Amino acid sequence: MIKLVSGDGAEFEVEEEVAFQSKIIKDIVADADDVIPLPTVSSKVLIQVIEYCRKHAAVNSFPLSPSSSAAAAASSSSSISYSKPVSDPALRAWDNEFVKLNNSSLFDIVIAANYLDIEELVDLVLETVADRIKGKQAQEIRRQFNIENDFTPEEEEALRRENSWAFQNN
Amino acid sequence: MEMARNCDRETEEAEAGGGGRNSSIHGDVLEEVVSRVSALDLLHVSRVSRGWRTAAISSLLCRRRPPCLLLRLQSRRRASAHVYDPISGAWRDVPIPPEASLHGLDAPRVAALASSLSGGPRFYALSSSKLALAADPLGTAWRDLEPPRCWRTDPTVALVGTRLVVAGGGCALEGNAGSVEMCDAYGGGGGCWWEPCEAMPEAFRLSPAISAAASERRLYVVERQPPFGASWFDTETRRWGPTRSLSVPDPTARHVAIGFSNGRLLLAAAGGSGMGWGWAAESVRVWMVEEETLEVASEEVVAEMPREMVAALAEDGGGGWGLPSIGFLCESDFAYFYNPVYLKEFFLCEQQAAGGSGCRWQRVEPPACVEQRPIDKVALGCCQNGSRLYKYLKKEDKVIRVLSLVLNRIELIGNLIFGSDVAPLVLKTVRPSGQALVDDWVCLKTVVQAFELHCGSLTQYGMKYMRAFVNICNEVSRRMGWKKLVVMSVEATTQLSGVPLSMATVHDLVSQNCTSSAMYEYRWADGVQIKKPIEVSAPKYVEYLMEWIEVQLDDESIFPQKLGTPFPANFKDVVKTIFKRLFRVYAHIYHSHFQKIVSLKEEAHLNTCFKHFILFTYEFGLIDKKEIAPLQELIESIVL
Repeated sequence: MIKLVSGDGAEFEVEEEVAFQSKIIKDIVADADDVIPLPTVSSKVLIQVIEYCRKHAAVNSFPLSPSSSAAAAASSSSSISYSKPVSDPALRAWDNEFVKLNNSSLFDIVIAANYLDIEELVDLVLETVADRIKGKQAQEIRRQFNIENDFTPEEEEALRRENSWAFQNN
Repeated sequence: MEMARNCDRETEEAEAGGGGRNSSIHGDVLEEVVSRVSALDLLHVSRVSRGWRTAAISSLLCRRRPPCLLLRLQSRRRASAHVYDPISGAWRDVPIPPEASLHGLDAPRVAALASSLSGGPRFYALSSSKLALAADPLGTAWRDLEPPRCWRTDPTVALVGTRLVVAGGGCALEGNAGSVEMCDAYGGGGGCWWEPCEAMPEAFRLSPAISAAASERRLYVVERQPPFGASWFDTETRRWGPTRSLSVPDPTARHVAIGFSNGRLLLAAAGGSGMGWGWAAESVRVWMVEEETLEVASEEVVAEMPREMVAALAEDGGGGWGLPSIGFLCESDFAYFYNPVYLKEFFLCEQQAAGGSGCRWQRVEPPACVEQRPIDKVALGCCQNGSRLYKYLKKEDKVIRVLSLVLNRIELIGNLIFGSDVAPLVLKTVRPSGQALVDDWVCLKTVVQAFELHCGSLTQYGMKYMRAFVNICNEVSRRMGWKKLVVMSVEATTQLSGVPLSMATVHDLVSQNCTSSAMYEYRWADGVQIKKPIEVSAPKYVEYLMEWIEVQLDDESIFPQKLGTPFPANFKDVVKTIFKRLFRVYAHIYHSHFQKIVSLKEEAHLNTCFKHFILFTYEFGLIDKKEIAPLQELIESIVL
């Protein structure tokens, strides 16, 4: 077992194979003791990351059964997928559920995942956020991500003009 | 634990209204996210806020551009061409002029050829009276060549460099089995003289299915089915190399195909299980193959198709043939896979840049018109050089116009530096793909952000010009360097990383301060559209200038794009004019905007850039003394 200590002092005991989803932890454990402080990760985020790692560690340790691949073709809703991270449809469905979080939680997770070097999780979250941007107008994106429009009205007008010719008919 | 998660499980809709608590997305995370949205969405992203705009622009610079998928339908009555643009994710119909419909041919059958020519033709049509070679990737225009001397059906055709090789196929004459003929398709005089070469090795003469790939010099062939005989034909020696069986690392491999891209020979293989008709595909993998020995270079898999995609690839609509062979088209770090018998879907694979691992896969549906066509009427190709394709599309479709507007940026860099034909190639040799054009990216970003903070947003045009600027200097140096001074060109290339910095700042300053100083006036005439010099403001002058230079650089008669093509007699004059005009821009910057540049601590960059420019013009005598006069003092202080 490996003990992870979050920034707010909470301790989490996890199995090696779960913790080793993070390459950083794997490296640290190789040449240090089994208590690993993670000062930049809050316990709330760490709980989520551990949940993810636990699931992926469990699935990765069992080889895929051939029958699951047939179901995959039907269930893949997104047209884009990453071959390396997740090819098991059940796991992907689980991932899809996992990322049904609000944006700020997702950002917290991606920062933690990046820090812990969990490539698959980083990919998953980034792709999710990108999906939330796709097909939206600037105004919708601002609302979605709570972003302040810091363009001056003149600048905005200039931007509008700049793109407008591209939409003209001739 | 569950509770903690449940608190966060809000739906997107709920959150959209209320706004996150302290959701902040910025810096690297934002950039990573933005790099995953399509170019069309990028337009909207760039209008969200300043930070987002910076992210959108930098993503645009780093973005790799997948090759377009080309599809040509040909029948006796009807011809149509379609392009799939992976960035907008849409198929576009490309109009075919009547004269390019090939209806004059007795039996028009358009087929794909293996080509090493980037942006060159991907299709040919062979009849008894002539060989029609597409003049562009899509075949919206054709060149008629003499047919090979030996009449044959379904030969292997490849464009190896500029040489057209026709090999094997069903030959009418007994003794001519596997004969190979070659001609220079772009040779002088427009004629095409077929020369007989060494016949194909025995193994390929009767083989019905051959997969071919072309490098600049060689044609590679592989039997699509076991025992996977493989060989190559060298167009210099006109001889075949040794024939050997490819040892595919996957022992279950049933079908293979090859492709050549990025200087790599790639082997795609479909493996599976079951015997005879019961065989079912279970995996599709790609390996690199050693060009000389035709051995699989390493067991390391370059790409592996996700299982559900393999299942979809082998889907045959109830036909019972499963995956009878594998369609594989590759270009740069991308590849399209398809089932050649049942065209239901394409699978686009993007190999991650060096350092990254794994591949990104995407599913592509064919255009609706394919469904009603017999498969042998469909020819497929893949082409990286988008600018040529977009040319046809621009007038057709406003979405494409937006795209080409956005994408022009990246292309501009390549095209300006290296010419549109060799751009992808040379860009790679200078920088491995996936790396940013600018080494010190953080530095550039910092300055751009600082600039935007003080001086407002970089406009799209500003972006365009700053790069054009830099690259023109580099471009001209490099090309001249080829001819005259190798050292200089190396220097120019290394400068690429530092130079954009100052130019980014500089150009926008030019745009900002719209009033030009009164001491020197700017007059513009390009001799084509504006014959009589007109008085213009400084920003307008720069705009005209950049457009004009772009035209010059695109003109192949001035800047030959192929190695070995002679430079025109007036090459130096053209370059002199470009330099003279660029010099005026420098003069303007120093004269009117230097204070601002100093305040941004950019003067060192500007000076370096200018110094290089001046030394270069001195070296080759590119600017007259009287032109230099306004900055004489400065030049002396900088150069001496």
